[in-house]
Amino acid sequence: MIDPRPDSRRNAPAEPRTLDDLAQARIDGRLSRRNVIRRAVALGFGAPVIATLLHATSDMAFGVPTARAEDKQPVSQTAPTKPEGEAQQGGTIRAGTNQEPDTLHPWISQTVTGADVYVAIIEGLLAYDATQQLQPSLATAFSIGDDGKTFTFTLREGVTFHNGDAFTGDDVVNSWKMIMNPDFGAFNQNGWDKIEDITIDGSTVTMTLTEVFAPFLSYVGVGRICPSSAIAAGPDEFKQTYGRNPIGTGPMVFNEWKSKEQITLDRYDGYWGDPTKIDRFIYRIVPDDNTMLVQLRTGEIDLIGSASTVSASRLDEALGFDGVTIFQHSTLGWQHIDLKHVDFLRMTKVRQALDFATPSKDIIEKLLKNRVIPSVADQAPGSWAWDGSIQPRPYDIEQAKALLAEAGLTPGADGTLEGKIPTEDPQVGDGEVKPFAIELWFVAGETESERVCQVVAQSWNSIGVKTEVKSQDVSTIWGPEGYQFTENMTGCFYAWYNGNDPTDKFYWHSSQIPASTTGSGGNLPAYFHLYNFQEEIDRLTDAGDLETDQEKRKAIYFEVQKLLHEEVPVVFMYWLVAFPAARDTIGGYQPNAFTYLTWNVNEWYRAG
Amino acid sequence: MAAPGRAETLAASLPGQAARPPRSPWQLALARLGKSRLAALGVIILLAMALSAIFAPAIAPYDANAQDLFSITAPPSPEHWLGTDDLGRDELSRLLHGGRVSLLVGVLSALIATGIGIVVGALAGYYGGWVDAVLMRLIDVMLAFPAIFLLLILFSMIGSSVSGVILFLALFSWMWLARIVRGEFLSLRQRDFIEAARAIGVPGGQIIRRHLLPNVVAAIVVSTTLNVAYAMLSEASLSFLGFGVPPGTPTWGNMLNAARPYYTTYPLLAIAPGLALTLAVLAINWVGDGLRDALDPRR
Amino acid sequence: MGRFILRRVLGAIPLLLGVAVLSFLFMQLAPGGPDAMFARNARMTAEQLEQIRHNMGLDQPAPVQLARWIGNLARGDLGVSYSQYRPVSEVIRDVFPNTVLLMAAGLSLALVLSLFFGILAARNPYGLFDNVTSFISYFGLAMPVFWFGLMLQLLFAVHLGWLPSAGMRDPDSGGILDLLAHLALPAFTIAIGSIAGWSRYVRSSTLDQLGQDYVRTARAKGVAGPAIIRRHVLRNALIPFVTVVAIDAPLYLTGAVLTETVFSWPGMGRLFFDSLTVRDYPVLMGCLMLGAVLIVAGNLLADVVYGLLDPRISF
Repeated sequence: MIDPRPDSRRNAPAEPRTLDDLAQARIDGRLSRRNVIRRAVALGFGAPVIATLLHATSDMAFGVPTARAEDKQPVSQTAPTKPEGEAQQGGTIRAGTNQEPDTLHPWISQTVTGADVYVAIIEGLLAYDATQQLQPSLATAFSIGDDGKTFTFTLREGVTFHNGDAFTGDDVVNSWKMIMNPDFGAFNQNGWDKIEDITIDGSTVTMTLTEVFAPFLSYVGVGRICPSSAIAAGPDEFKQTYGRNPIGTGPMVFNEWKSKEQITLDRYDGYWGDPTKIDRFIYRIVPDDNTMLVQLRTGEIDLIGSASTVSASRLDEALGFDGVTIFQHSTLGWQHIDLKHVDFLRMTKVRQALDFATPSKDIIEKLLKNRVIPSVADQAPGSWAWDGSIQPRPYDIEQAKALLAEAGLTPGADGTLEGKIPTEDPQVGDGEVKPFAIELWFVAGETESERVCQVVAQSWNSIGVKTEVKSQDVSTIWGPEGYQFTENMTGCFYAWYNGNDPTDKFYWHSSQIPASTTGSGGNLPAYFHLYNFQEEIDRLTDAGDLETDQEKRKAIYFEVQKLLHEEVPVVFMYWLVAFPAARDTIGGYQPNAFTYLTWNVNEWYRAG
Repeated sequence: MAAPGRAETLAASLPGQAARPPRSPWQLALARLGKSRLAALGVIILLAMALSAIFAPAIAPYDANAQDLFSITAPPSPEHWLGTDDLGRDELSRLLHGGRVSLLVGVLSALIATGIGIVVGALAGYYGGWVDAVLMRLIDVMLAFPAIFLLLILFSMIGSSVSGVILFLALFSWMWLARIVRGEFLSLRQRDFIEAARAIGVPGGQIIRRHLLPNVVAAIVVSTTLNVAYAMLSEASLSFLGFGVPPGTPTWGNMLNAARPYYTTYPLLAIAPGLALTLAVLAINWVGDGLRDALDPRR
Repeated sequence: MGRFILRRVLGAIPLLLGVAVLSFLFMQLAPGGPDAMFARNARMTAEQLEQIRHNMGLDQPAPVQLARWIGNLARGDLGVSYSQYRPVSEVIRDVFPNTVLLMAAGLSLALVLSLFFGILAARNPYGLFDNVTSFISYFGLAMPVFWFGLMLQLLFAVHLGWLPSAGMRDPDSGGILDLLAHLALPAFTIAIGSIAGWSRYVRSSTLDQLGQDYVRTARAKGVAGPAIIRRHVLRNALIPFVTVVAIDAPLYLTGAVLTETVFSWPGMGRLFFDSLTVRDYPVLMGCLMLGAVLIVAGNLLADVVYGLLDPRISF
């Protein structure tokens, strides 16, 4: 047989020499998986690189039978949606959630999904907008005294609750008193417990604090105000009934809650601002992700967001839906690996080495397909306290090995590093000789966490840090038997979620180390030994809470971030990205990281 | 627990309660043949499953927990006959290893349940009186518990393990056998040969072992067989809800649980373990029915 | 008769008391205790936790708590939900009707189909119909109920699109037809086990009656086959069947947990499962007690119906 292309042999791709060649050869189907691995090893690439390479090329090679929409990508929405067609007056918008709210009582609800609904019904003095700025709500203006301890709010006139009561300063005072009432048992008294006294002078409310507390407005300023008439029922009655029959000043009135089915809100015609364009908002409870996507596609629900979004693993499928737009925005959740400060993990160099040996970039780009944002510290990109100048440590096995050697760790008989653990001085190994073996935990059932941990473990093992991936169910891992209360060298992969205020004392301060296995506090790594930089981080996080000037505060948090990046108390991995979705006929929807679902429900409309 | 009607209906059709139509010898023979064929088929299926479970590590193409993170939910291929799951583990290997745990849970918990059932039933039936009254009230209370609710609560509280699942499933499935054993003992102990044995001073334990137990062997064997099926279904139900054998351990129930988010896009992940479980339970039920007929003294 | 029922009802009380005490003990044995839900929250201080424990009476000694729980139970007070902060009875009342609807639909389906298949099979034992239904019944009994549900969902909702895949009603239509469409798959799922089991039971108990002397007599007197079945056989065959049904029916609550999870049905099963994930113990205990009451009531009903239908039993 005559080859129609005589030169084809010469034009055949050369033997793959670089990673890119390998990838291309794999995509072209010229190399089998096994051959890719063999050649990559021959070319000297490490296991994680090979793994990610295979992943990057596997979809093309095997074909994933989901709807793929190569041209459609998630949209970053910086303004409310504006679909074609006229904005309709009236109609219903339905949102979906995979979790039923626990209660609509704003002071005891522990769920985001609860807040997603009650912010449409009950308002606070101020409210966050999509850019993390505080905007007037029930207060038209506020000022902070020079001592940083006096907050004065000017209340909006002519506001009425849904039951007809006029909104006054008494409602603010009564709300404060009830939140602080121990028999009521508010879920969160943060900020409210700093109030010494509230005085009312006409439409001016002045709050005096016992001490300076910079995050005050992010708790009390946006705290929800309930009507005095409802509060008057007493702690028990108020707690048991209000959550199922909430009354507020918001743009929507509570209509009905069918358990496990849906919550219905109607337009409040007496609203002080622009009344809603829609007549009705329905919050559908659809516990199954499959079903939720189906209903989004068929139009049974119009949008999802905030508490319920499209999971990254379903994104390709959802992007294929006609008439549906998938959005994306960063969140305030950061994924990281806790490094419990015991034995070698107390040494800064060791922690830095583990950071160098964590292939975050590959994990983010290849495994998670860039559907997360790299993180270097605890402030979210885009937030005013974020220091964008810090660069993540590169993936550098040699540097990691060098640092471990400097810390006195040398390979033992089976290749596992071993050395003397530090005793008095956390930076000096002078105790007994131990192998460097880490347990890497994740919450059982979280597939993505498991995948990430496997890749990290593979890499850490490759430099002689014996890493074993382990999992437990969520209640066990955070319970008294959890990893953080055993004195082993452990890492744990999980996410913390920041509030809108940059305060981060909760994660790092020595006062936030749980005192017992059931104690409170977010500083889990320092349970057995304080951080070697504990005094410094205590001083900084305290200062951040006491500084009310935003620029000065920013400087403090920049310092915190530099310190965290230098000391690596935890391996910072990435910021989670959320993928809300809406049908293309919905206008006014602006999903973002800083507000709850219905924050601008009065702007929503159907286009037609 | 797997489905309402199952345990009770099966129990209700145990020896002594089942109704039987009169048949000509010819019909009877034919029926027996048909029945025994199913039973034989059941035995063959069970043997095959047991063998593949025992030798799973040898015959499974991959390690059941070996993850190939970069070939996730792959469709069937020559390399992976049943494809891979959401962590890139070989579905066929997990199916084989899963049979191991599922069968182990079924057999062990049924044996434990049988042990408890015999002891409690024998004590109550032989001694009668207040022993009987106390044990029967205990059985009543246990039967009044909605078992799945309690098991779910227990496992969510104490955390689950394979041994925990075996033990607690056994603790909630011995009552019917105990009742049957007691009933038989109560009627038997009035009989002459028992009275005689007692009169000549044969110890109680010996009477139970030598004279009474042989009379309830049929009930014990059948009930144990059916309990194996019940325990396997229960394990799968609990694991499917996420509160059975710890996630990660390959069992058919866990595989179904893990397949749930993907079952619309990768239905095979849900179909394969479900079919395997159905087949196993089917075979056990066939064998159980065959045993019942074979051991029925009235036949 | 009345005294018999009264006696049985009174006899059920210590039974339920036993269930209540045992349930309570299980809760006490829980690691971390019933307040684990709050203790796990890293942002909750020790004082707040103590306050919550006090508000819920969890700081009392166990015997006091037990006495209070039993006492409240006797008054129908199941306590206050940890996660929803409202009375458990209210929480359950919200969703119980939906479960009753599902159970009733499943039961009716199972009754009709099992009687139909069972009697038809008994009319020609070991015939083609009998053998086929027998074979299918074996499958019906062997399939895990949730898996059967998933497969139905996959086939009829996802692939064929004939029926809705989940939920109880569409927000817009909400009519009876819409409800029936949503009900079809879960009801069939929850009923499959009983359809299979009961139809075999009906078959054998019908056959049992057909072999009785009175049937032979009737036949000899020339009464037609269907008439015999209608007039004589059914009544006698149904007595044991009714008791089986009454005993089985409460177990539908168990089936509901799995079925409702698969089909997102807004009932007790979902409530139980959701409460389990947040460890809302009062609600869990409430579900447990309700389940026990249903089972005991079913058994009671079985006894009574047996007595009513079978003239040979006197009280």
